[in-house]
Amino acid sequence: MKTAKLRIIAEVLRSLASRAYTLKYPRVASPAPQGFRGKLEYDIEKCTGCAACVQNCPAAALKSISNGDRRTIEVWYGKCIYCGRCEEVCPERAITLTTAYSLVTGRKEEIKSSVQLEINRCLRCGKPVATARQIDKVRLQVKDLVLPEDYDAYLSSLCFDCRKTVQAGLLLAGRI
Amino acid sequence: MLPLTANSLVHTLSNIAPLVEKLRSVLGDRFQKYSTRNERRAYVYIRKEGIRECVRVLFDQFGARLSTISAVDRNFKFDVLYHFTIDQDGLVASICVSTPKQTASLDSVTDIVPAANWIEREIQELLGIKFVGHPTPGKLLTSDDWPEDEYPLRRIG
Amino acid sequence: MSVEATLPIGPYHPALKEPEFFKLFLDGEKVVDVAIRLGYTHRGIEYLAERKTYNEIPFLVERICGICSNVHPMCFCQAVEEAWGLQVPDRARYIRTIIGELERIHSHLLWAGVAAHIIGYDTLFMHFWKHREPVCELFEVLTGNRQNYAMNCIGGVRRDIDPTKHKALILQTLSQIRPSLLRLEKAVTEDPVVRARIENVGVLSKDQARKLCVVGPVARASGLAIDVRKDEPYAAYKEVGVDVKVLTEGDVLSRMLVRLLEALESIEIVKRGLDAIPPGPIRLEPKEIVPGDGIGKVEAPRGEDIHYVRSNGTDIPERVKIRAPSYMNVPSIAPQIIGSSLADASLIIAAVDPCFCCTERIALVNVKTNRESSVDFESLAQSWRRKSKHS
Repeated sequence: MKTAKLRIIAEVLRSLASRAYTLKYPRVASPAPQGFRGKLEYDIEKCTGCAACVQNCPAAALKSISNGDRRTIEVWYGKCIYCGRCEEVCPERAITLTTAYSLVTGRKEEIKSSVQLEINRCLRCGKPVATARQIDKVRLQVKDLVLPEDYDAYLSSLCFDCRKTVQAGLLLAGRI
Repeated sequence: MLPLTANSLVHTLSNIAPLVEKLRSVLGDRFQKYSTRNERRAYVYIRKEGIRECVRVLFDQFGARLSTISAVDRNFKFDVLYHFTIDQDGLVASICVSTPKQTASLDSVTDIVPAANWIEREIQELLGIKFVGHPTPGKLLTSDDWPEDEYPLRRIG
Repeated sequence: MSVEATLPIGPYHPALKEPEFFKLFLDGEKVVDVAIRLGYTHRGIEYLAERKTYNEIPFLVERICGICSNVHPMCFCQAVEEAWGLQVPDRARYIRTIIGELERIHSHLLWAGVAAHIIGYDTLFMHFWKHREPVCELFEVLTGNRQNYAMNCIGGVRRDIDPTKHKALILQTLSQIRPSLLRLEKAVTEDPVVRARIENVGVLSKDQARKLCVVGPVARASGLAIDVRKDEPYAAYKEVGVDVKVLTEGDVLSRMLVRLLEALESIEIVKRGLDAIPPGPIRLEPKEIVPGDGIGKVEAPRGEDIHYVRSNGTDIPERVKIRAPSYMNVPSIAPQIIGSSLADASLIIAAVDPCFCCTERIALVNVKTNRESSVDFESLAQSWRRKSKHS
C-alpha cells in the first residue's frame, strides 16, 4: 500500500521539479513545428489556374469560378480539412500549407481566400479559352518541340474549334 | 487435389482444402463453387438455404470467428458475404450467398453465433434484408423518426 | 443509495463527450439487466464512401474515430491494394508499422487515463495523459497534426520519416516515456485499493468471449490469443515480429494490464522498425483500377478492424463496408455487467474501451419500484470513492 502511494507521490514531486508543461497562450507564442499542416496559401506568381487542386480536394473546400474574363480559385478555410492533397497535386507547386493554425473568426463565411487569374479570349471568335498563364505555359513547352519557322503565335491563341478551322483552311490552300 | 472450378486458383495449401472439402460434403448440392485470390482469402459460394449448416461447420468445428457480414446491393439481388476468420491460419473464408431484392430474406444465425446479433440487425436496418428468426430485431443505428421502410444503403433504380 | 425520480438528460448534452445510452435495470444496488442503445454518432460513412473517389476516401474514414485515426485509412488502403493487386513498397510498410504502433501507445495511455478518472483516481489520470503528450507532439512533427495524420494513401504513405531529424526524436520520446510507463504501471498494480476494486470485476469468460467474437485486448484478457499482427501479418509485422500479451482472468485488471504491456511492447516494435527500415520509395502510383473484392484487416488499439471493398473498375467503389472493433466488443458489456454492483458499472463499460466512451449519462431503472432516474458519472465516481474508503 505504502509503496504505491509513495510511487505516486514521487511522480508528483518529479512533476513539480520539472518545468510547467503548459504555456500561457496567447500571451506567449506557441508556434507549430515545421511540417505542420496549417492554413494553405497560394503563390499567385506560380498559379496557372488549372484547378487541379479543386478537383482533388476531398472536402470540396476549393472552388473554381470562371466568368468570361476572370477565373477565381477560392478556398474556404472553414471547410478545409488541412490534408495537403492540393499541395501534393499542384503541378506548379503554387500551394503550400503554412504552419499558421490560428484561424479564429466570428463569422465562418469570412475566412475565405482567393486568387484571380486573367482568362484569354480567342482572337478569332472571342470565346474564353484558358487562363493567360496556362496558355503561356503551353506555348513555352510547345516551342521547344517544334521548329521556329513552324511556330505560329496566332494559332496558339485560338480556341480549339477556331484552330481546327484555320488549320484546315491553310491545308486546303496549300500553305502547310 | 480437389476438383477446382474454372475461375479458382490452384492451391495445395492445407488450410483451405479441408475446409472446402468439409463444406462440400455437408452442403451437397447447395455448395456452388469456391475461389481464392491468394493463400489468405477464400470465397465460397453457396445457396442461401445452406447458410446455417455452413456457419455451424465453421464456428463449431473449425473454431472460426465471425468478423463481420457485408451485404452488397446488386440492383436485382443482394450479395451477402459472411466473413469468418480462422485466426491460427490467418485466413478469411467469406461465405457468399445471394437473395433476390424483392423478397430479401435469410435465415438468422444468431443462435449459433451470438456475435451476429448486432451485425444482422444493422443489415436489416440499412439494406432491408430480413433475417428470419432473429431474437431481437429492431432499430439499432437510425433515429427513432427514420421511416421503417426506407433503407439508406439501398441503391435507387 | 437512494433513487430519486428526476428528468433524464438524454444522450445529447453539451457536457457529454460521445453519446451512447445504457439503461441499467437495478434490484437494489445489483444490476440485473442492461439495454444498450446505439446510433447517436451514426454519420453514414459507408453511404458517403460509395459516392467519393478512392483518393478521397482515406480522408473520410480517418475521421470515423479521433483516437484510432491511423487504423481506418490504413485498413481501407490495404483492402483496395488487395483488390487491385498492388504491392506497397517496403519502406512504406515499415512507416505504416511505426505510425500504427505509436498510435497504439497514445491510445492505450488515453484509455488508462480515462479508466483512472472513472474510478476517481484523478492524479493517475493526469499523469497518464501527461506522458501521452510527448507522443502527440511527436506526431505533430512527423505527420503534421496531433490527430488525423493523413499518412496513408493507396499505394503507400504520403510522408517519409527523415533518418536524420525524425529518427532521433522518436527514440528520444520513447526513452522518455518508457520509464514513466513502468512506474505508472506499478502505481496501479501495487495499489491494493485500486486492485481490490478492479480485480474480479466485469469478468468475461473465455467461452463467452468466443461466442461474442470479441477482439483486441478484451479477447486477449480472456484467454483468446488472437491478434491480427500475428495471425495475418500486414505492413511490416512479419519482419519486426510481435509478442502478443495474453492473460486469462478476463476481468478489468487483466484488460488494464494487457493494454499497458502492449504499450510497452509497442515501444520495442517501433525501435525494431526504425533499426530495420530499408531505403527506397514510399509510394507507388496505382496504374489500373481492377474490379474485384478486397478485405483489409488491421489490429487497432481496440481490436481487429476490417474493411471490405468491392471495386467495379470505376473510380468510385461499389461497396465499402467498415466494421470497427468496438462494434464487437460493446455487446460483451451485457454479460459482464449483469450481476455486478452499480458502482462498478461505469468501470466495466469503460474497460472494453468503447470508442464511444460515454459513461457520463446512465439511466437507472429500479425493477422493484419501476421508477426511472438518471445519474451522472460524478456521483457514481463519488459512490466508488466511498466504497473504496470503507473497504
